Amino acid sequence: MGETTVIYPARKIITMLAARPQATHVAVRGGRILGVGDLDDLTGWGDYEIDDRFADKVILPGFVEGHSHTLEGVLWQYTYVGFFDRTGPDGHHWPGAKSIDEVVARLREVDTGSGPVVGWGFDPIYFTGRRMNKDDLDKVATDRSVLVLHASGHLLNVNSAVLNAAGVTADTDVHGVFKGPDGEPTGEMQEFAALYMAFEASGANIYNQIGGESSLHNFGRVCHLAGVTTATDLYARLTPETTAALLRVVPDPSFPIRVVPAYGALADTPENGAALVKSLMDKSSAKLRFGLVKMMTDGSIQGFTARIKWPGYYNGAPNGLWNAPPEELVRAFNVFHDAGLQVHMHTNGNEASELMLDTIADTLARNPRPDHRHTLQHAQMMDEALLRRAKALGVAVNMFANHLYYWGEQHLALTLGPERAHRMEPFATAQRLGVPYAMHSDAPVTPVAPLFTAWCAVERRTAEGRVLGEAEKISVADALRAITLGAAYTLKMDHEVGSIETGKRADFAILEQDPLAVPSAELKDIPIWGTVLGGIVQPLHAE
Amino acid sequence: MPAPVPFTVLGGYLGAGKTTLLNRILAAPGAGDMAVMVNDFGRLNIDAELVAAQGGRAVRLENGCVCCTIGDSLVESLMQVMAATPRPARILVEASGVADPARVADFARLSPSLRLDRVIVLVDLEQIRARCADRHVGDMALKQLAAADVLVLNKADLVDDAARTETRAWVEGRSAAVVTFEATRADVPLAALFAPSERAGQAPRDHDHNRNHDHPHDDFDAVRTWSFETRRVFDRARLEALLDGLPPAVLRAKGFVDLAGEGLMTLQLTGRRWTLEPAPDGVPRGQSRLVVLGTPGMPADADLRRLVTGAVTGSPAT
Repeated sequence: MGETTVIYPARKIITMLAARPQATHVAVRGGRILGVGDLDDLTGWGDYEIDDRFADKVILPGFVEGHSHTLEGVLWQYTYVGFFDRTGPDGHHWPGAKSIDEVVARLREVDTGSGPVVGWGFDPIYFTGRRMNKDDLDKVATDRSVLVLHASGHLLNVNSAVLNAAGVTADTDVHGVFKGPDGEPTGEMQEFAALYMAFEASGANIYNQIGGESSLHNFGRVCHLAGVTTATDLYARLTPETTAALLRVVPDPSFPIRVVPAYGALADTPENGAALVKSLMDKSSAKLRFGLVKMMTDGSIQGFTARIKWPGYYNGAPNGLWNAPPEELVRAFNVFHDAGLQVHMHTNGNEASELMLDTIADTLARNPRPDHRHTLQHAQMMDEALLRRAKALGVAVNMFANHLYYWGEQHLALTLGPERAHRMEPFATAQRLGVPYAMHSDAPVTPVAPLFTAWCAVERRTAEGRVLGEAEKISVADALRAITLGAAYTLKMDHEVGSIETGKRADFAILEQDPLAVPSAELKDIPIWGTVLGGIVQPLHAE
Repeated sequence: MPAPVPFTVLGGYLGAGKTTLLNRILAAPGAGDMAVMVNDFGRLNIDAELVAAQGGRAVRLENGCVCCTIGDSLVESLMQVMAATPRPARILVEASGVADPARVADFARLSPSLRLDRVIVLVDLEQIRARCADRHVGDMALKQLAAADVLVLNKADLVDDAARTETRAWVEGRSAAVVTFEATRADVPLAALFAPSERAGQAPRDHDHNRNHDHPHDDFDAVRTWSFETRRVFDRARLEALLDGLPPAVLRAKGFVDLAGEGLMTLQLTGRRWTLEPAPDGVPRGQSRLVVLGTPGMPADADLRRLVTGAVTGSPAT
């Protein structure tokens, strides 16, 4: 054992280890945790160096983002125009755009004078008064295309140049094209057909950058800024090209996070998909972990495309959409399960969650597999009965805590109504029933920021400050566990990361304040100093 | 700007026979230069002998047809298909078994580089009633019926005459389709599935299309279809004037029209006669949809649009 041992004293170490929840020193050797305790517990391993740069910091296990997408890294190549503050991969803090004029001003500012102008993350639901229209975006440019993608992922705004190029006029009677009182298209539209038209007319194309090297670097930096050391790409294409990019970029010691791509299961037949994932598992390494499968089942609640059970949407909207016929979802799940793979299932609405629990129950009766850890993702509308079934079947849930803040008011008023909105993301019930749970951002849908995500589960406040579901609040300690060990469990990596414990990888989030000591309302505001990844110290700012 | 590419949508629930029909189309000698976009390569019997070149998500067949998978984004895959040089002569998109074909048709309604040809919906005669009552997919199965311009009632060999007649009436009552084919193993004349754009100038045949349910399949390739959708409501007086004044080249029209103050009605027009009756349960509310069938000599699409739009009020549908 010729390797150096470094012992880091800290103001406090929060371990997630039941046997020793808190400590003052952690010893690292060869990228792994040699021990955690006080200094006397650690000196017996032989020679060591003391590195006291964290002496006034608080050390937690590196955060694990159990549901994010590297698409976040693609979008940062365009201009963020969202309502809420957000930090880019370069650390630049973009204040929220609080009005249509602010959105327009920002796009004018970044416009280089050539090519299409693309904004993303636009979120007008808290704007009062009128909606953004083509006249607003014409102030950015009239001779070139201007596109603004909404945060909800279902809407976009375009300028007159796009409408003219596509020949969209008052005569265009197509579903997703919004018209003003004058009968003219307003420039706001929804549905994929509108997205296609806008991309075609403008020449903008976000798709050919997905999974590319620059998007991976952006994604890695955004995660690093948030204290994340392990992040999923929970619907990865895993084409030969994107796989090669992952294999080039992620293992490099300068890349700041571990990446867990989950194979996106709609790209091919389940048989081919299962074979691909199994072949890729041989390429897994300490920083890049293949083996997960992700299935999409329904849409989103805020887009009224989630499949929800009676009595349906609060505003009377028709029920949502399946991503594939239920029989095919059932068949695909069986193929992946039989191949021995772990399956993560996007289920926003309770009808989708129920369908997949039915499927898992049938499949396990036919082909039992202990500790499969199939996981329902989002699982926003799980009631107690569904959670009891999840518990009985050994299914984990990774719930979308950030929704409480970002869309809580809409769920209350439009999508679900008070009763169901108050018991969305039922963390306390999951905890009480003993269902393994995690929580997530679904970046780029909402920002990667596990402390913010934990804050959402603890405070359950909407953007307007209203508490949604007092009874479903959980403690700070439980929320911290969910963003570390809880998420690691859903990735079958809880033996490697997620806690500060002998033998595990030396992945730490280094905080400036103690999350167990600050008022819980300030949890989200704790500054992050940086991270340690496999023993490599990664400060956010030059020391 | 190059001429828009004709765009056909093939819809219908899982098991209705879409793959069987796709296999027929891909094996047809005259399918050249068509791009066929499917959900799942794996189920097609693409004969190795027919494959000229293969690369990732696309296969070029010996007959010139390119077959490619949609994957998880029709937006992205369609951009790829349209980026090819030269552009395909025609595009056929297989809508997923739970997709609303009308929303796929919107791609062609919105993009100036595409022209909506037909929405073809396959129906499993044996299963359709159960599908439409299914708690998970019934709503979507009904939307698919409503969205059709052309219905193919498949698996006719699996039901007896009485059931076939009854099911056909039930399905047609919930569909705007102007033409229905009955088929076994999706065996329909392929020319009938695509509009005769190449033959648009051809004189109409002297043929009575009024009894279209029975009209010989080999004549359907000589007619045009045109469809219209709106979320605004129709004015009854203006609609009646429109229907009375349609030129004789319009052979048939069918659809669901939301009449101001009256709600959703089924419109049936055959020759000079038309009827408006309350639409049955299960037809999606909140929009109107009209399909017109005529000889190649009927007014151009833009003129039909102007005519029909003239009967629409500015108010949103009920």
